[in-house]
Amino acid sequence: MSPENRQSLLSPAAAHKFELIGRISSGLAHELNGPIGIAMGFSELAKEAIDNSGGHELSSADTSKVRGYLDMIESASIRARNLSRGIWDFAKAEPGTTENIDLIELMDKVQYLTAPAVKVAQIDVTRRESNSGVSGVKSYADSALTQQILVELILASPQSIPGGGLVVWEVDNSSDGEATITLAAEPWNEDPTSEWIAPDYVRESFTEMGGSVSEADPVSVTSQTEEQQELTGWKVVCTLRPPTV
Amino acid sequence: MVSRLEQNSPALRYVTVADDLQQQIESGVVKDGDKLPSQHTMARTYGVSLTTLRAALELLEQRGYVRSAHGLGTFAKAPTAGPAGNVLVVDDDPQILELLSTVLEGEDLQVTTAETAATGIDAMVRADFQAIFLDLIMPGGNGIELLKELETRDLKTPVVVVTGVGDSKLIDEAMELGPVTLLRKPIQVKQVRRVLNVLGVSSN
Repeated sequence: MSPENRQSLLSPAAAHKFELIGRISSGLAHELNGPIGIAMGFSELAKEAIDNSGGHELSSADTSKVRGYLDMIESASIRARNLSRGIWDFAKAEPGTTENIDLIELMDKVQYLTAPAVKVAQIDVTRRESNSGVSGVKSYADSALTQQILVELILASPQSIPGGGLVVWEVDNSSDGEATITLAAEPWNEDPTSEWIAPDYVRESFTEMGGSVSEADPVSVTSQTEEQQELTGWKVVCTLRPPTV
Repeated sequence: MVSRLEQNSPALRYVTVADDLQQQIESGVVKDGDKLPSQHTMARTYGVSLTTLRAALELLEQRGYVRSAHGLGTFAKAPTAGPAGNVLVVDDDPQILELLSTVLEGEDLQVTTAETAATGIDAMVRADFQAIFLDLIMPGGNGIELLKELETRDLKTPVVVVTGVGDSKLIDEAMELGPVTLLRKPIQVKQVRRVLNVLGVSSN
């Protein structure tokens, strides 16, 4: 069976997942250069410090210096491990299990996966605390599918802010108990120029899970003179079912 | 001009040529504004290829000791580089800032760090630097913004672009804005030191 035929047999979500893995991996491959370079660099410095001791025991100042280098190597290695673990977990997660999930925890993972990929487009992904100050928002949803469609939405954000900017996410409970995830694309400098368009399966998947996703709405503020509305970005609101007791 | 170079000189030949020309400009043998001989003449004098000679002139331009006028030739120039040993490092990765700072401070250089292009530009406006180590891909304005600012201000501070493998489009953009030195990520300490040596960046 040809790859095209095989792909046509997959659900839209499964077919899109391959593409998403490719896009996330490309960003992660670039990001991995950071911790690898840090581990290599501090290893070089540690070896130099030891070589420079001429075979004698290191002084306490040099010992502390080398210890600092080893700490940096360790933290860079942990960072590299987390980056590769993130893509591995995403790749192997299969939709099909609906359960109570913590949306803040899920969005943290989505941010970690997408940030390196959108960084190339000068976009930073960050969380904004909700006004209600909730510390945990749960929903009865398919964790793997929800994660995938949120990744898809964030990776589509560069369309609305081509000059770069911030994608801000906020998780909260609506007044009728539903869980909401608000994604806002805010440009750094240039005006946002187009809408935020995700593949159809994203909307369909939210609907299948008993939730919804809004069209991208322009976000505006009134200028100081209150004479005109200034467009500051685009906002998408995702709604998911409340948790089951 | 000096005699032909020793064929077995251990240093890179274009660096040796650049160092010699720089020494002549610093000592006043070649004065600010003097037109240098043609590239063919200098290549013959130094016993190097035209490619090597051009690489030397490009390096000198980065160091701020010559300027090229298209169709007119190359002219000596009093250097406008900042105080010796003052280096700016711009990268959004705090651990890379830490690594580069450790290496540069180990060479007795004074390091200023910035995590965004905007703070890098701000630092560049407030102080003179002998060199700038610059990441290209950063959220909130990439390294190109800083290079454009350098061009606008007509600053000739040597820039070392520190970049990953996937940035070829940005590298092309960077190179259109003036001569830059490329340092590929993952960074190697030895390469950083070699770049300092080639650019003549030191605390003296």
